[in-house]
Amino acid sequence: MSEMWTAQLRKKWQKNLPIEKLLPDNQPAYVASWIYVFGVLTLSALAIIIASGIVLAFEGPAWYHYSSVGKFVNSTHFWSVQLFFVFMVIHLWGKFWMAAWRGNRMATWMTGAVAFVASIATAFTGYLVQTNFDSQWISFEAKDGFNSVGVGAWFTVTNLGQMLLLHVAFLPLILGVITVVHVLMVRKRGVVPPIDADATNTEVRS
Amino acid sequence: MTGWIADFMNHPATYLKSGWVQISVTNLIVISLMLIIFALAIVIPFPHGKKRVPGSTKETRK
Repeated sequence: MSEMWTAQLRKKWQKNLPIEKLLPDNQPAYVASWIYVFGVLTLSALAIIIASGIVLAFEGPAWYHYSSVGKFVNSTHFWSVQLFFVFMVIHLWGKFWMAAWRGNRMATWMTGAVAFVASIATAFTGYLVQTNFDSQWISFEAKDGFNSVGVGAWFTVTNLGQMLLLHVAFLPLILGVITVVHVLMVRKRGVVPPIDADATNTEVRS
Repeated sequence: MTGWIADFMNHPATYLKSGWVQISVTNLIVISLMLIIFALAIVIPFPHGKKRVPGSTKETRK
């Protein structure tokens, strides 16, 4: 009798990503550099974005346009997106110049690249659902661009309902899943060493 | 909105143009800051905290 799929999945998971790799308590010495901090800074900004976004979704536009606390949470959501992109782009520069796809890390690099594209789509729809004159102007400029490439019929940037659902449901789900896979790939393959790092550099620091 | 922030924000963006290259001063400042942060992240030494021997639960100061 063949093994159940649950047992097969468990064994495959344990082989590829044992708990020691998933939750490590030390890292190679070369990780002690500020350039290695920007990945987790990006994740931190994303956590603030998600938390403030959930509050905005529950309270609604009347609250975040007119009450003091609402304006504060709305601004927190907006500015954490700005920081998210700053951190992510510096993270991208760091990983690009150290050729982070080395050492069988192609999937880590690709999931990061896809997460970057998904982030742009999520941020763009976010700009469109601010429900202010800024979002109105952006959507009316963008519709001409999307119409010119023939996608305006099914991706209608002036359709607030469509953009809102994409922004709060579909795109965060896609971005969240890709981010989780990206982090799991980092755990599986380990943090990429600098190009000139000694391959036998096994010193660890907490 | 009042004060210097209003003075700074309540007017159209200032653009720099050289041939086909055009960029707003705001974007130029943000991109320049990102490049400066990137350079600093590479050159500034990372503070060394507690050193841990692999497999040990004890931590020692370096």
